[in-house]
Amino acid sequence: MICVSELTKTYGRTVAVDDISFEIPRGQIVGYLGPNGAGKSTTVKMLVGILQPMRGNIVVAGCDSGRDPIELKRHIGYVPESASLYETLTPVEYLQLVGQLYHLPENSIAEKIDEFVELFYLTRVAHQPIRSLSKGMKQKVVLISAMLHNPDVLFLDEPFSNLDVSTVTLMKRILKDLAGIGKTVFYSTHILDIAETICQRVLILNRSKIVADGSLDELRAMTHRTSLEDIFAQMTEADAVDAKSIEAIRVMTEKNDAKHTS
Amino acid sequence: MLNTLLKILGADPAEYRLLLKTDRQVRRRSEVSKAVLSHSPVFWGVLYVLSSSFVAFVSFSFFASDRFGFTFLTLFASMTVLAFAVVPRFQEVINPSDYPMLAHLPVSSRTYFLVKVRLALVQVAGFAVALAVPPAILGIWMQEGSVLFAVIYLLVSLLATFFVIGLISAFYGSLIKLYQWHGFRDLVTYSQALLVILVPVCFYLLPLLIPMFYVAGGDSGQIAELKWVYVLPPSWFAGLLHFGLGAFQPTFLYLSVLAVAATVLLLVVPLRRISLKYAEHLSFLQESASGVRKISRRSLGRVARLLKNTEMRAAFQLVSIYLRSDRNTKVRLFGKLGVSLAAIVPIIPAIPDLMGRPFSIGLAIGVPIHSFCVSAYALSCLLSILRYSEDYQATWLFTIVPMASRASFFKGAKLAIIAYFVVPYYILLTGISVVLWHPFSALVYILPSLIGSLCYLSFCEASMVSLPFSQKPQQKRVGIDDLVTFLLGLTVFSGVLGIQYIAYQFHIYLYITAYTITLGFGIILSKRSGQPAKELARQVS
Repeated sequence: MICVSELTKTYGRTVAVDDISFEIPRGQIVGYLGPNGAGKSTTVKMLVGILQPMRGNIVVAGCDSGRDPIELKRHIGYVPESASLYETLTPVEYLQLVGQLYHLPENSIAEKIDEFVELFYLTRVAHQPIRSLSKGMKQKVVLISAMLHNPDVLFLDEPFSNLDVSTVTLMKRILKDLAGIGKTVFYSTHILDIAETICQRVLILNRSKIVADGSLDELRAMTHRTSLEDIFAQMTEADAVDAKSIEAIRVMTEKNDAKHTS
Repeated sequence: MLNTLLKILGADPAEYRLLLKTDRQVRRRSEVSKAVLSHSPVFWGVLYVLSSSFVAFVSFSFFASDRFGFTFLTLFASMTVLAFAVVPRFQEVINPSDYPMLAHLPVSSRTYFLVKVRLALVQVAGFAVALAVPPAILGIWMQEGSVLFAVIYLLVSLLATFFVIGLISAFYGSLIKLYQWHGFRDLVTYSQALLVILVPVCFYLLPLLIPMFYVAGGDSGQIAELKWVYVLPPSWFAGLLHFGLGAFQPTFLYLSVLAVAATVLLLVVPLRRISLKYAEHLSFLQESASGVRKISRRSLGRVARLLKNTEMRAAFQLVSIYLRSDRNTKVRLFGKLGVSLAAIVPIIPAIPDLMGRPFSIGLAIGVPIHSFCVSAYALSCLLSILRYSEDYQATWLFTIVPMASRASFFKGAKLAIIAYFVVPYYILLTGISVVLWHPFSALVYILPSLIGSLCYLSFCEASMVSLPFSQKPQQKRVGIDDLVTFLLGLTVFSGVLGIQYIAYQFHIYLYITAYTITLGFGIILSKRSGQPAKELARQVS
């Protein structure tokens, strides 16, 4: 369903994504993990056609991003971490716009919007301007807009950062259901416990390169660690960095204490 | 028909209509477009009718018997003004604000491009009509004038508008690659100031040019006799107008062909070029969403290190960073500084009179008043920029940081303004004055304005209750606040200079005494008037 080969992206002299390749079949939920600045968001933006890769190929749902980016966008849904929305429109107006841009039939758009709005407890604010909504509610609008057209592949970039517990639980159930009916979910995050519960496969990105790719069991066997947190720490060399940071903080605190007492 | 045209241009008609509808809806509900007069197309329409009427009357008074000359000059003026109107509207085409909301949706870049171009074109076409109506009507009363002249003038000026749009598109088409270079975007930022200055300069130069054309036109005074005029595009359209009115001379035929061919070529080729590269360009814009460039820490640190108080230093650095690095702040700042610099233009004709009359403030009272006006206006703009910010929510930080004195914070911001505006402005002004007069005379002229500006700054500081960058921008309010403060400052300063002037009329020693006293009082005031701010700051904290 997703086929990426030799994908590379640079910003000036900085290499954001360095020659990564992977394939994801239908019906799989894949966690795309990595520390801050590893290149996760850049990869997702390239996969959904917002950014153009420097080098490499992307094929999603049979559509080549270079040759037919519009067709590719019709087959995917995308939830960014902090989405830009038309703040003066109401959620219903915004979702209608999205539905129409995906060329959904008018009556089907209205029906689907009603269903989703009810499911995500947005009925009360459905006709209020988006700017008056809380961050979590805005994120729900974005989630609905990504699922409205029943996409083959769902790209989620830190999607749950502003959501309450019940919505996160609901979303986890929805994602599992979607995978069950053959949809593919590409879930980019650094929140490991959610990834651990829903992802069947994990890709770990560190310093712009993929350093691990496999199911949780495979990664456990490879690293001899049990939790995803430990596996992640080992793969991203966070263990050594953490030790150094802890030591630096201890030294700084001691210095400050000495200053205050003197 | 529109559907067919859109399909030929590679756009999806349904998507096109949808995006256009959304754009209209969003604009209608936008708070900024409701609150800010300068965002209103009606405001600009009225302004263009007034300016075009002025140019038409001036041209009419010189060229009532020269139809070509009248058409050439009025078209020259309206095409220049239109070029200025097209540039900011094409900013939305080259750097669209709502693309991040649509980037991931299946919208073709060409449809999106056409929507943006259409929105720009409709406004510009409206302005073109506003600019064309006064000369078209006035032309009826010219020698050989008729109602037909008005009709053909309107049609020709519409074609000239398309020519201008094509020319600007060609400019952007060739620069779209350069846009990927940071320096170009800075250039666009700084050019805001340049554009603001150019408009009054053009209107100042045009009345000067008209007699020159008149004299150069030879015995007949007909501009058409000046062959070099045919190089300028307005003359092509003036030729087309004559051809349309039945003057079938070969010159007018050639000019008409040139006008039509150039318009078609300029409109089709660059727009096509931009539309083809648009997807790539939009993708690039998504890469560099941040408007802030890398800041030189070393140079900032060196200046700030001079300040011992940490709160002053923090405020100085914060203001410096925004003034130097934030593109949004810079766009507003340079636009407003451009307006204040444009105010210098009217004084240019008076310079020869002012020269050769050193020392006597009674004879050259305009210099300190004018320099104070420019300085005070720029200072009020700077302060309003410091007060209101898009990042106003970031000031939550100041509510938790244990600051000993908020007054020091204000002082740091004030020092940054002095360092970044007052010092360079008065160095420049002193330099010009030394060249024009004598160092001592320059000092006499500049000192009252400098002290006045420092007093004004302290006065503004007193009214600054909130911390820098802490208020949500509400531009209508900003404009009124600025104007009231500015007018108040100007009245007080004019009063002080008036006292000096009256003293000069009596005796030179009385003038020197009045000058010294007012200056001394000003210095004390500039130091003391910061006190209310401290009181307010205490209340706030």
